[in-house]
Amino acid sequence: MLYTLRVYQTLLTRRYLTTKIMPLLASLGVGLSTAMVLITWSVMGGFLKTLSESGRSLIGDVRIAWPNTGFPHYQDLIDRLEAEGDIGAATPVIDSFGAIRLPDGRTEGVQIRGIDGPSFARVTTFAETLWWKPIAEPLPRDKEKMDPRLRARTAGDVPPTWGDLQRNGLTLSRPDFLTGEPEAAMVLGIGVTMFNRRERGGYYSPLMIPEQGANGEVTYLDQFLPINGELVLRVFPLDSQGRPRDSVARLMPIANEFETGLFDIDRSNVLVRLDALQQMLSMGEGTRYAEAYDPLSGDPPPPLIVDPARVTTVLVRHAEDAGDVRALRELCKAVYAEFADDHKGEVPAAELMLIETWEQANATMIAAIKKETMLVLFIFTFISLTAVFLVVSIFWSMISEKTRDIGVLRAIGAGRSGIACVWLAYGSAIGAIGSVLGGVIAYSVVSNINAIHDWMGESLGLYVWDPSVYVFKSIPDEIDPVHAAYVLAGGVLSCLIGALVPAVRAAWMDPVRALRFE
Amino acid sequence: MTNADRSNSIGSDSTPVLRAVDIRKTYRMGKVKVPVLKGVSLDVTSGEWLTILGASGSGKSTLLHLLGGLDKPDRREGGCIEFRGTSLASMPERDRNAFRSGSVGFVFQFYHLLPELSVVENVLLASRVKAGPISSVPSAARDRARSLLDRFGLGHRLKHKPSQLSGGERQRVAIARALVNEPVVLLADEPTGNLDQKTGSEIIGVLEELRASMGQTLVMVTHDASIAARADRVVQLVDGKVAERAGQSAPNGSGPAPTEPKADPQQALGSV
Repeated sequence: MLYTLRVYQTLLTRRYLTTKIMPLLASLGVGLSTAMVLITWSVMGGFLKTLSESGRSLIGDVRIAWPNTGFPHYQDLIDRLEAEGDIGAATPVIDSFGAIRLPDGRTEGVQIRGIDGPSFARVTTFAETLWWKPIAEPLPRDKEKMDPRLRARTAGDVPPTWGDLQRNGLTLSRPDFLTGEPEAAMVLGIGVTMFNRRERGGYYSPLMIPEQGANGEVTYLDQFLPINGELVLRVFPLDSQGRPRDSVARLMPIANEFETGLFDIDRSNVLVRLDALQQMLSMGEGTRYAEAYDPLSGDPPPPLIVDPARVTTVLVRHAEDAGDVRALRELCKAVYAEFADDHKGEVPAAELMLIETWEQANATMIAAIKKETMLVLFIFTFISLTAVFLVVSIFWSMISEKTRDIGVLRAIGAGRSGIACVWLAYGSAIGAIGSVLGGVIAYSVVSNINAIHDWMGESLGLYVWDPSVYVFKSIPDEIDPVHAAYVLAGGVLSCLIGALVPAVRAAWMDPVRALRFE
Repeated sequence: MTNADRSNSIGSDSTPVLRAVDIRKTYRMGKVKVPVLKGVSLDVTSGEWLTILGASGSGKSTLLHLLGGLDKPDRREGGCIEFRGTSLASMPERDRNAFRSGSVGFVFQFYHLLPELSVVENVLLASRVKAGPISSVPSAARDRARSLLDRFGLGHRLKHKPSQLSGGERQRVAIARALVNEPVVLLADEPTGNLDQKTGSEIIGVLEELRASMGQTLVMVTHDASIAARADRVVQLVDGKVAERAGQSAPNGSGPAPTEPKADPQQALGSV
């Protein structure tokens, strides 16, 4: 049965709230607890959201993969996929591994991804992740506007400009110094070479590039990789049976660098133009004799067979951003099944093909995110318990103080439930006031968290969040309304729970003893 | 009820509003049982002023609490308290609350005003408790509260807090609170016990005036024989039992109560 507050309960609740310092302190305590939880959840939630979005940025929504050896006729598959209304775009990719040799003599193992720049940009956020490009506004934390991209790249804006570098990055090519003809180039993760220093403002400063000579002496080159840098890329081709063949190395210019915000990707991923990587991995289109043939035998040559180019992966993006990726995966499965039927014997069977959503592809990372979320929720629960005990202790002492009032109320006809409701209403009111207060504090702090952090850094030398260390440009500064609603409701509920035991104690207090209480 | 118990019963022939029959009340102090009331019977008739006189610890406040439904007699053979023929023990909790809210009014020695509320809010608290959910206090109750406070000389202090009042004023506020719901019986527990003689006399004067003008039934507990002497009827509790019967004017609920001390209280009480 719904209990409706009586007028005396609302009056007493209001008076107890406004005439005592203790409930105000309790509200403040609840407010600070609520604010702490909401700030933590907002920052952590922003952190997790950014991680998730970064994980999706280079994958798209669904990937269709046959790792290592790859599969042919991929353009046919892409055409079929793009003919579906629910599919926005699809792009061929080769996922492989290899190594790059840096000017200072280091060799770094890298994940290599062969891509077709324009179509890859339609499926993923590749275009946005390209780092060296013109920007109109400084990054939020770059108060002094020190980002080199804000200025003309060289004095007098001599080409290539930032815009040229952006175009080079999108097409994964760079003009040859002598001929001016575009040649296949690489786009590196911003942290691969470690020749970029991340500054507190969140931008990168290219460093002088050390080069170790034959005599072991190190000299520093005034080079900027996207303009005049070249690295040796080594790949390890596999034959059609998946067996390793001799490695293939190629000196390849750098077109640009990218930043997803996800440290592992930015530290170890290298993008290469698809046709160049296909060539290096022997996955490009080629011809061969249908059977063994010795040209010296004098026999007529057997017919030639064309081996179509292969890729390991086709990435797919939903036609609408908010689309259900699981439904998209099912659609991709159906399209692939039809495709496999038409190329039976040439491509892997539909049952064997790896078709997964971006969430499945990032299952490890998603699991980590979920663990972190659990941790946040645990902290949230723990803090809520603190608030509960805070209210219990305050109410316990207040009820002791108000024992005679309880006796008087019983003497003038108040029932046990009525007495309990006075304290429950009181607890709820403290919770509501505290929660609203906490919400306001949290909103104020989270909205200005970067400014507050900057102030702390400048005034106290305290940089808790250092963008040169963390992968994010700035601290997440948005409050999720749903999270806020949960936290505020939790604040009220905590106080209600906290008031419950003292309320029951008050309700069952012997009125005669209460009146005699001193 | 035994004959011996009957002998402890004091009352008038008219129908009582409150009747206590063989009341026993025992408190437990750790492992020790302390019997406070050992079979008290009495009747309170409409319009009378009954004073329960006794030394400290004689059980008079306990008896008052039992009469007001604030406490219950012993579960086993604890006797029975009736209000207009209905046993309080048989009343559901809600009805007992309603009884305390509407049929009796308590006045305590230490006033027991709520310090957060103003004078008028303290008085109206009883009406607010009586009022149903959501519904506001009836305007009649507001008028009555103001009228009572005017009558007690507190009409100009409605918004004052109890801490701004003297002891006598606080007790008058407490009496107004007890009367605001127009109770059948006013139960006063040592109403002058915390006041100086002059102020205490003023409070008794207030109660006497109420009796005179409203015919208010009054049960008062006191250890002050001089106050007891002003009552219609006095019962003395000694060691948990009614020791003596001492009557003054026969109460009929219609006649004015005596406004002057009737006699030497010792004389009125016989050998008490």
